[in-house]
Amino acid sequence: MAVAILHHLMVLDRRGTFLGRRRMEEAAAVACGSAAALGVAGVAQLPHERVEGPAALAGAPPPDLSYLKSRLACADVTDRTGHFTLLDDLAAHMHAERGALLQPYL
Amino acid sequence: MAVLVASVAAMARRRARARATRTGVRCRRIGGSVRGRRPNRVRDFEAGLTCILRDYFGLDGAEPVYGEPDFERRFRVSRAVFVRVYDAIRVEPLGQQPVNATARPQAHPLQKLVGAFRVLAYGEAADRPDAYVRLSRTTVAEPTRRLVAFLIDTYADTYLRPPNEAEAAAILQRNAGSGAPGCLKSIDCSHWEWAACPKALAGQYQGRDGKRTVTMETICDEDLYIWHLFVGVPGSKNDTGVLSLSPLYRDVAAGRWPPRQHSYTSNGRTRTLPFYLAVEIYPKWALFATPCPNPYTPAKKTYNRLQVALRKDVERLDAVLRARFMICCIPLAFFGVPAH
Repeated sequence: MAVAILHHLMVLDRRGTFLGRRRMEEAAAVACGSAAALGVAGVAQLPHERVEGPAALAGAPPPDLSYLKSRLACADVTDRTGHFTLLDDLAAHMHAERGALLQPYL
Repeated sequence: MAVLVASVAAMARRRARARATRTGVRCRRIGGSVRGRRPNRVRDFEAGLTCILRDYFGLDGAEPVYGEPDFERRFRVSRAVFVRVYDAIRVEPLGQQPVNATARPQAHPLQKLVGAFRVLAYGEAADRPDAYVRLSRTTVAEPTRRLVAFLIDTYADTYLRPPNEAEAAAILQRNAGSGAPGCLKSIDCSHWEWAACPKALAGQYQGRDGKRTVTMETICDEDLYIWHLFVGVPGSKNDTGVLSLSPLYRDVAAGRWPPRQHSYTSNGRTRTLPFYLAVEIYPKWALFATPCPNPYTPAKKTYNRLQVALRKDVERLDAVLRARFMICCIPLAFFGVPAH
């Protein structure tokens, strides 16, 4: 855990210079035609970058759920039919945009 | 009154002695001169501190001998991160410079921190930095333990937690641009070989390849920022077994996770339940997008290819952590097995 924390401190220090991020930004810029559309293309900056202090980084408080609601939420998450529907939808979505999506990996 | 206090103290001493005899654990005598003990080596603490200051921080206004790249190569963190940790420990007992009975100052906290970082970065024995930082094995080992405890106590709530609402929205937005709308990044398990695993625990920790390992379940984004870390499950469990023990599963079962505030559309269908990219072994839940088992259509072949490409981040996290901090090659280096 301590190693993961030190790793995180380094990632937050160096995030802007990562090669993978640069490639995705370049691909997004090519796909969108302008660097101004980078936020729309999915390379938005994470909000906690360069933010210091535990108070600013505190996680969201867990929602207060009744037993029935939590059971329904759990059933929704572990739904097997939903899994296969999700795969079909993602496959169709990715296939429709395969030219732009595969560009960074070519 | 004094007699009563003395008798209570004597009773406490007798009880502690009886407990020590029963459990086999004896308290080591601390401090004082002991007859026959080897005298301390004259290590010249000041020489060690001077070397560190001259090499990495600059002494008397001079430039440091080693620049930022060398510093980062040797300590695995940048100078800014190192100084930040050093400033944070200054208020802790680890960051104090003790004075011995003869009023001579002992090891400087900077020496102890450099020794501890060397142990974490190179995975070396606590005896090894002695030649450079001029500290004994125990004086390096103890600060290393304290540094690890300090980092976890101070920073774990900040840096080892699930994303809050704004961060989850940013992650979803980035992944939508990568072709996976609704994706909260990838989940996977990796195994650390535990060379020093006791034989008594071999049955629990032995995996299918015969090696004794400790399992780590992680979720990370493309910057390798870890959003979920669960370490310590015996290596005999596969990814599904680890998931069933994971706090992630507990939160999912209680309905606390994942967040449902953000809707996304894929293939004309709008959902609010985000998902993780995972390998085939994960359960067929709506929470996990695993590869298609039989990709017989072009769409499914494209999906499988992109799924693997997007999932590669979590696959390389283990290698990156090991390459950065060699202490990762020695799992449970700071934990012992309780003697029964």
